[in-house]
Amino acid sequence: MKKISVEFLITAFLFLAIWFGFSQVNWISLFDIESITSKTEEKLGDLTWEYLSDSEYEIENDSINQTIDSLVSHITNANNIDRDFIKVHIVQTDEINAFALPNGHLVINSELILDAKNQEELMGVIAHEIAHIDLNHVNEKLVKEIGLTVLISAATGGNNQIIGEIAKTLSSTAFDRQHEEEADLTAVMYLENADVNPLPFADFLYRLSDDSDSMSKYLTWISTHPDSKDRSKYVTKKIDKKKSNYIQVIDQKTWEHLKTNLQNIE
Amino acid sequence: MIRITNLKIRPGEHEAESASNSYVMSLVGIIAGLPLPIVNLICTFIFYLANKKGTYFVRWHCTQALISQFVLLIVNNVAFWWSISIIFGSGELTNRYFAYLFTLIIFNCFEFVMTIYTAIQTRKGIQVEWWIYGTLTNYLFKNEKNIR
Repeated sequence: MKKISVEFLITAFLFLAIWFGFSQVNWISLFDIESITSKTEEKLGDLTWEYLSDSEYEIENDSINQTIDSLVSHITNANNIDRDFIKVHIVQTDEINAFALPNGHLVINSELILDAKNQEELMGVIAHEIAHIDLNHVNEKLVKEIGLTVLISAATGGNNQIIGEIAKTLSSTAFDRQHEEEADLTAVMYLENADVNPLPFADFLYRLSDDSDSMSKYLTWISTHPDSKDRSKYVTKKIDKKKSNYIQVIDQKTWEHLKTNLQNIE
Repeated sequence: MIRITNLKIRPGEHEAESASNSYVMSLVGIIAGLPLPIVNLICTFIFYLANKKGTYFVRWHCTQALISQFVLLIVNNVAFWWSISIIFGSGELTNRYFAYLFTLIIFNCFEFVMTIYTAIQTRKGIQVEWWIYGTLTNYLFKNEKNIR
């Protein structure tokens, strides 16, 4: 029996040693897997946005787009995020929602902008969605819920049914709790780096859980982002209380002008 | 890795053929059963059951072949379900995954070559004992040691 144990241990050790040795090679870059997946992501993102833009009305108003762009750029520049990668789309709809698609497509619903009490609230939500993009949550969620092979076949074959499924998954279902918390906390960090007060973002989350009168209005956002009260608590906890040198990215007049423009379009 | 030992008895032509076939069965199972790692084990197990009442030499080699396929099943199953989790689940392609696959390829190739070699040698009536598997088989057959 002792002989068997010794032989078994030696073999197991050899197996593990070879495995460990092979693990030291960077196969991912050797096989160029990252660029394969990034090409798939690029294709998926574009196809999903094309699918959504067929049924949604994208606002293409210079004044509105420039104002939102300046808010997004402020966050990305302060956090060394490639601004060109984030492709912002403002969609006219009465649902309060914002969501990220593959390949950096960020969709912001007009009702979210109208409902935000100030620019910091809106920037909090934008920072949250950018965090999902930057932390690769979008792709992880798709692989988990739809599967890698289906995604690759959708990207290469352009299967409209699967693209519709992807659009639905990303616009109306939640990320898991860990991803939401990670995105919330990263959003706070992004805002602080950009000298934007993150407290209104926490207020916005609290309002979601508290405002039962307008629950139906927030239905989409609540269904995609559960446990808003808890989220508001840990976001508030994360905020650096000593920091006070916050700035307004756009002046109050521009903010009001943005809302008026949106209302006029509606 | 492989030991050639002498038995007290000299296996007959029919015994040598049956013993050799136990390895051939596992080879056929591996080829036919890919990528499902269970098929080779089932083939070898059926052959083992069919020869359960055979002579010492036949039973010994059927057991060694069965043990070798069982170990193969375990290590290959890890790769199989790992791949499934990447394709359909939340698993990710990592360097560790590729390293496991390459280690497994080496392990499988090594076992494949050893199986062919053993099948040939056993057909000639030569007693071939593998590292671990042979030792383990001898342990299971310890009550019949007077034959050795």
